[in-house]
Parts: sequence; structure tokens; C-alpha cells
Amino acid sequence: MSDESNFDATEGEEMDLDDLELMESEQTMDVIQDTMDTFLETANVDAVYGEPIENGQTVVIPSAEILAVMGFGMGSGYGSSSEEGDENQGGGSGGGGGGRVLARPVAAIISSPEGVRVEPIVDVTKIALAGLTAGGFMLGMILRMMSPKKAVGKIKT
Amino acid sequence: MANFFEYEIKGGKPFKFGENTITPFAKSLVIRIPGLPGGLVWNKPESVLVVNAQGGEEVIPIQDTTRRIEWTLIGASLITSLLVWILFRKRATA
Repeated sequence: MSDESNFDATEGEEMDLDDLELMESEQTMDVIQDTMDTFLETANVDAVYGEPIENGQTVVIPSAEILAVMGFGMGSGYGSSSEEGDENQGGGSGGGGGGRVLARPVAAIISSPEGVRVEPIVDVTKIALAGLTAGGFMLGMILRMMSPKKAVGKIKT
Repeated sequence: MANFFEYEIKGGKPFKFGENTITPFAKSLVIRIPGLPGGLVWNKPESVLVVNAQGGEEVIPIQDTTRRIEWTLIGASLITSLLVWILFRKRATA
């Protein structure tokens, strides 16, 4: 073919698959990089402190703990037929990602004519769950130590 | 190349209420997985700086009461379990 920009059906096909693979990988990496950049932007003060809420002369600024976890993975593969004369080629690529954001209120900053103070926000449910877990662990340990053979016997039966 | 581990305390936008100017501070921990796209970002409120009309400064720390109680309970259960284990072990060997 005289025009170099035109697609060559024989030699160009292999090159084209390589180019396609490279292009797909680059595009995927760009998307991942953009998502990662957005994700890392959460590491700032604005994510922790909320907008001030005014009520008369009192202003409340809520604050929270934020934990964000994210991960990506990708892969691709290309191949051709091993039989002679068979020019079939194929390939594929895939990727995936996941993440989670956890937020929990920690304290409220209260500004009033009397001054500025910080009021903690106590999560009773979390404390109750931790207390039950700790209590269960201690009770289990005490019972196990008091009669280890009996406990093992009960489990076996 | 970005650091694997980043920890810093950053100051935010100051708020002015009446005579007081409040500047919030937050600590952030960023962990990246080398060679892999992914990571962890952990943000926590640290303190607030209060500047009054006379120029007096006061730093009020922000304490995470829930987390403190949780760790106290976990610590107490571990210590109690350890003590029970030591006590019964001594009794068994005696």
C-alpha cells in the first residue's frame, strides 16, 4: 500500500494487537490514576471538619474520623492459534477495584459567647459491642482455666 | 515516586465567629502499596486553635472518647485474661 497510515492486513495485524493492548492498558491506568488521585484528595482537613452550623449566637462545627481504603487490579492476555495456517488471534483484558469509606463522628466544636469548647461524641453502640466482646473473652478464659478438661469434654460430645 | 507512608498534621481554613477565630487541625495517615494501585487514607481531627480578639491563643485538643474507651476495654480484658492464666497455671503446677 502506498499510504503508510492505512492498515496493513497481514503484517500490521500483529502490531495492531500489540498497540491495542498497550492502548487499553494505558487507558485503564489513566482511569485508575485519576481515581487514586481523587481518593488521595480525601486526606485533607475539609474531609474531617463539616460546615459550621449556626444557631443564634452559637456555632457548632462537627468533626469526624474518616478511613478510606481502596485497591485495584488488572490483567490482560493475548494469544494466537498454535496450528499451522490458522491465523486466529485473540485477547482480552479485565480489571476491577474496590474500596470502602468509613466515617465516625468524634467531637463537636461549640463556639458561643461564653467561649469555645469541644464536646466529645460518644458512640454507645460501639462501646457496648467492645464491652460485650471483652467480657465474653474474659469469661471464656476464666471458664476455660477453671475446668479445662470439662470444657474440652463438652466440646467433644 | 510517592512515599509509601505519609503522616502529617494539616491546618484548615480558619472560621471567624464573634471575637474568636477558630483554626481546625487534622492529622492524616496515607499508606500506599508500592507497585500496586491502592492504598489507605486515615483522617482524624487533632485540635483547634482559638485566637481571641486580644490575640490570645489557646489550643484545644480533640479527644476521641469512644476510641479511648474501646482500647481501655480491650486492654482490661487482655490483662485480666493474662492474670487469670498466670494464676491458674501457678495453681496447677503447685
